[in-house]
Amino acid sequence: MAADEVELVRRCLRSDPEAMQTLVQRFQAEVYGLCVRMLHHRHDAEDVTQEVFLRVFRSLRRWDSSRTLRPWIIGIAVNRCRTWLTQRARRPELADYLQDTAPGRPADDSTELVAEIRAALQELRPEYRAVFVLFHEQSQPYEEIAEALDRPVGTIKTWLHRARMELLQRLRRRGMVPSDFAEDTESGAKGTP
Amino acid sequence: MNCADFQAGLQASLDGTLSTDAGEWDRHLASCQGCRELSVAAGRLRNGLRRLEPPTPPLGLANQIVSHALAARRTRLRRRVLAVTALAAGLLVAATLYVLLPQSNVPSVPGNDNVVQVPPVSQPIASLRDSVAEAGSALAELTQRAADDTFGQTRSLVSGTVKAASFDENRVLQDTLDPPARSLREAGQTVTMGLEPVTQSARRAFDLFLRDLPPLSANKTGL
Repeated sequence: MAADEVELVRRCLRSDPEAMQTLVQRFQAEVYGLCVRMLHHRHDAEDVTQEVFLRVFRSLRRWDSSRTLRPWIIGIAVNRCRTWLTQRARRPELADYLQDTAPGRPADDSTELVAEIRAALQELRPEYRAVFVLFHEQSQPYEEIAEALDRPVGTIKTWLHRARMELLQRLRRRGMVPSDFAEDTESGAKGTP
Repeated sequence: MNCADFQAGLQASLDGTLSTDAGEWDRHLASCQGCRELSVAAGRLRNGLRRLEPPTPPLGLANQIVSHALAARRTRLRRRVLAVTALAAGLLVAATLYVLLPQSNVPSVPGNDNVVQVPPVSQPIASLRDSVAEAGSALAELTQRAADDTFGQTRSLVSGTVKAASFDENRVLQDTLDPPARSLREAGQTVTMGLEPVTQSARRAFDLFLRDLPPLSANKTGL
């Protein structure tokens, strides 16, 4: 556990605005990225990100200083996203026209593939989705994801494997696998993640 | 290698920990179309994930979060202070009432300062006792006098009308009037005796009333 995290938390508890700003800036990209993927809605993601950090600041006294901050904050983010999804399922869904206007969107023929992966992610169960995003997009190790989601590493591996298989099956069903797939086989299975 | 082995290898490949023999892998792919498609799909997925841009937080989000967090913290602090103040005030009021209420059993009329003007403790006892005794004596005397007057007036009336009556007749008249006069006299004594318990009860009630009066009220009168 980094000593600077303990000091940062201590300053945040004293309502030091600079320390609070540092903490938010250190983790906001991961929290916001996870929220966007989980909720598939940028405005909702912004609201939930804010909610996550408010909860973090409110619960800082309960943080176990023998653990690192990131899994703890990510755990709160995953829980908030799941709660939000449950609440959203009970009310009519609003269209978010900004969700596909992320900067740096690829303009080549892989656009369809990226959109397909995004759509496929939304069909996954929330816990599978969270594990997939944390592992593949945020490159977090199994142990840290397990700590964040408060599940054994074996469970996290199972969830991730199922998430991948569901995504691969969907890509096959949606015709994302070309008929002349022989060439892709080499780069597909044996490459690095 | 079978399909299950291939899928395990595929997962390991996506984990970045592949240690499968490449020749065995290729031989299985050549013979299994399903696993071949999966392998291609895995390649597509990996390419797609590389192109998937990570969402960027909007500018100013951190500032917004910090200002909200500080405001929320101030609100919580204010609520806590208010709650503690309200609790302390409530306790103070309760303690004050606990101390004061047992000493003020006599209901006070707001704005009526006459309650404070309590007469000295010894004086009212003597005054009431005297008053009740005087009232009883006065009533007994009044009854006695009324009986005597009635007896006298009756005698003079009768003597006026039977002036010429003989001594024997007067004696007969006196014997006739004596019983009513005696009855009136006895009635007066009965009233006097009957008033005695009333006087004692009133005296006891007034003693109890004075005992319940708080000493503070007595002090206020300068006693």
